[in-house]
Amino acid sequence: MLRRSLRLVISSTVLSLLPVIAVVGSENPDFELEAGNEFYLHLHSQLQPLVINQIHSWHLELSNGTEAVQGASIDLIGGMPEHDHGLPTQPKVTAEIRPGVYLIEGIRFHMPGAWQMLFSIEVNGQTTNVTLDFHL
Amino acid sequence: MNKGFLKVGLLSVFMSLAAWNYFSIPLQPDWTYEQRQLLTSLSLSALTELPVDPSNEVADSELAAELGHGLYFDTRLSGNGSVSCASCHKPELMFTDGLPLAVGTDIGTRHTPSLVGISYSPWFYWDGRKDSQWSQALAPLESSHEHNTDRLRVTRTVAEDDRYRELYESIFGSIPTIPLEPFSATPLGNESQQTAWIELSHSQQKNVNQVFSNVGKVIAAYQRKIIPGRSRFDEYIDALKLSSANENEIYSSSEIAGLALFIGEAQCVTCHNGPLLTNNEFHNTGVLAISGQLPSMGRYDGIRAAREDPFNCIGLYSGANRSECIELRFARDNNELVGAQKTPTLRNIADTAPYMHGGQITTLTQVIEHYNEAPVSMLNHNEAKPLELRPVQLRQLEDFLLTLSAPLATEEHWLLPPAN
Repeated sequence: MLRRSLRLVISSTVLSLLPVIAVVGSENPDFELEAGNEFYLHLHSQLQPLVINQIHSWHLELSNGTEAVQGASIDLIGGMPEHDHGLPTQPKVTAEIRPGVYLIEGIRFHMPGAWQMLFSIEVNGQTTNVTLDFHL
Repeated sequence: MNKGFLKVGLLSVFMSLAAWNYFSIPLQPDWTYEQRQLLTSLSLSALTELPVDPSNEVADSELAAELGHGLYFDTRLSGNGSVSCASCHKPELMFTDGLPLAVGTDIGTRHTPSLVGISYSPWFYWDGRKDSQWSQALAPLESSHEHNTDRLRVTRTVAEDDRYRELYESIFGSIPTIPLEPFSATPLGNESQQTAWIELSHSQQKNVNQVFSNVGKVIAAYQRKIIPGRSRFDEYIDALKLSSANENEIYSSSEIAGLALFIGEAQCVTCHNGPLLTNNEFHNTGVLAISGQLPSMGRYDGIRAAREDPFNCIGLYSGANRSECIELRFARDNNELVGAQKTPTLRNIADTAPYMHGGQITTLTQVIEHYNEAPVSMLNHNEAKPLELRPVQLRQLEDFLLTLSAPLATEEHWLLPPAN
C-alpha cells in the first residue's frame, strides 16, 4: 500500500487569526499541533499505516498544556483544495472516550495527494479553528 | 519570396506538428522512489484479503457460496423463467453483458457493471444506493425490467427445491413456512402484488423477508469468489522490485509511457487507485445523460435511497450491529454528489465495453478522448479538467490500459452453472 511522508502545516485561529505554531511530520501518521499557546492537539490515526480507501477512526487528544480539556465540542470537515472537493465521508466526533480524548469516526481518504482537514473546537463559548494540511 | 524557401519552411512546420502529435518523447530513465511506491500500491500483490462484511453472517461460508452459485445461474428466479443473474453478469464477459443498457425481462436504465473484485467495495450500483453486496443482489430480482419476480416467489422456489432447501437449512437452520397463496407478493411491485403483500400477516412478511435476505446473502457469498487475476501490469510492477529482473521485457516502451501518463499527467490514478484500480467512490466526470433520460442525480439520490433501504446495514435483516455500519453512518450526502457515479475498476477494462453508467461511450479510445476533453457536465461540475494530451499520448495510455486484462483468479467451476 501507499507509504508516504506526511507533511504537516498547521495554521490556527481563535475567532480571528493566530500565528502558525507547529510543523510536524513523520511516516507515523500522528500529528502534534499547538494552537495559539492555548490548545495542544495530538491526532492519532487508528489505521496504521495511514492508507487511502479504508474507513477508520482517529483519536484527538486535547489539552491546554497542563491538563486535558474536557467537554469540548469539536466539528471537522476536510477535502482536497487542489481538486475542489471534500472528504468522501462525513467524519464526526462521536465520544469523549477518556478525559480530553475524543473519538473521531468515519474518516476515509480516497485519493493520493494533498489533503486538508479543518477542526473547529469550541470550549466555554470560544471557538478555535485549526487547519491540518498533509500529503498522502 | 523565394518559393523554394517557403516550401521548406512549410514542410518543416508540418513535420514538427506531426512529430509533436504522433511521435513519442524519449522514455524517462527510471521511475522515481515516489513513483515506485505508488506503482507498488497498484499491484494485485498489494490486494488484501476480502473485507469482512459484518452485515452478512455467511459471507465467507463455502456452503453459502455453493447455494449462491446455484441461485446465480437459476432462471427460475425470474418472472418469465428465462433470466438469471448470469444473463447480464456473464462470466465469459468478465461479468458484464457487452450492451449499453442491461436487458433482462425488458431493457433497463443502466449499464451492467462488472462484478470482478466488487466485493471489496462498500457501495453498490452506479449511484451507490446499496450498502452491501447481499442487499444489492435482492433488488434485480424484484425489478420489473430485470428478473421481474418477487420475494414471495423467490423464497418459495428455494423452499420447494430439495437441493436448495437442504443447503439453506444447513446454513441457516429450518426454513420457515412460505405461504402457498398468493402466487405473488412484494411491497415493491405492482398494485396487486402490493395488496397481496399487505394481506400477509406480519409474521409471514417477516419470514419471507428473512428468507429473501438470506437469498441475497448466499448470492453475495458466491460473488465474493469473483476475483481478478494477475495481468502483465502486475508482473511489470513486481519486476520493478527485483533488481535482477528486466521489466522492460514485460512492457513495451509505449506501455511504459502510458503507465507514466496514468500515474502522472493524465491523473487517472487519482480515482483509479489501489490494486483494483478504483477508489469505489463517486465522481462527476461530465458524461452525457443516457439517451432518453434526464441526467442522473447519481450518488446524491443513491445515498438517500441507501439510508431508507430496509435491507441496509442497520436494518432488521442485517447481521451487523449499528456500530459496525461505519460506511452508512458516516456517508456524506452533500451537493458535490449531484451527478456523481461510481468509479469502476479498470481491471479487464478492455473486455468490458461499452463504458460509463449508461454505456454511453462505445470504445476505450473514446473514453480516453472524453477525459482528454473533460466536457462541461450537464449537472453540477465535471471534477476532471482537460488534459490536453497529444494523440501519441492518448495511444500510449490506451496501450497501457490493454495490459490490465487477465483471466480471473476464480476457480473455473464457479464460472460455470452448477453441474446439477
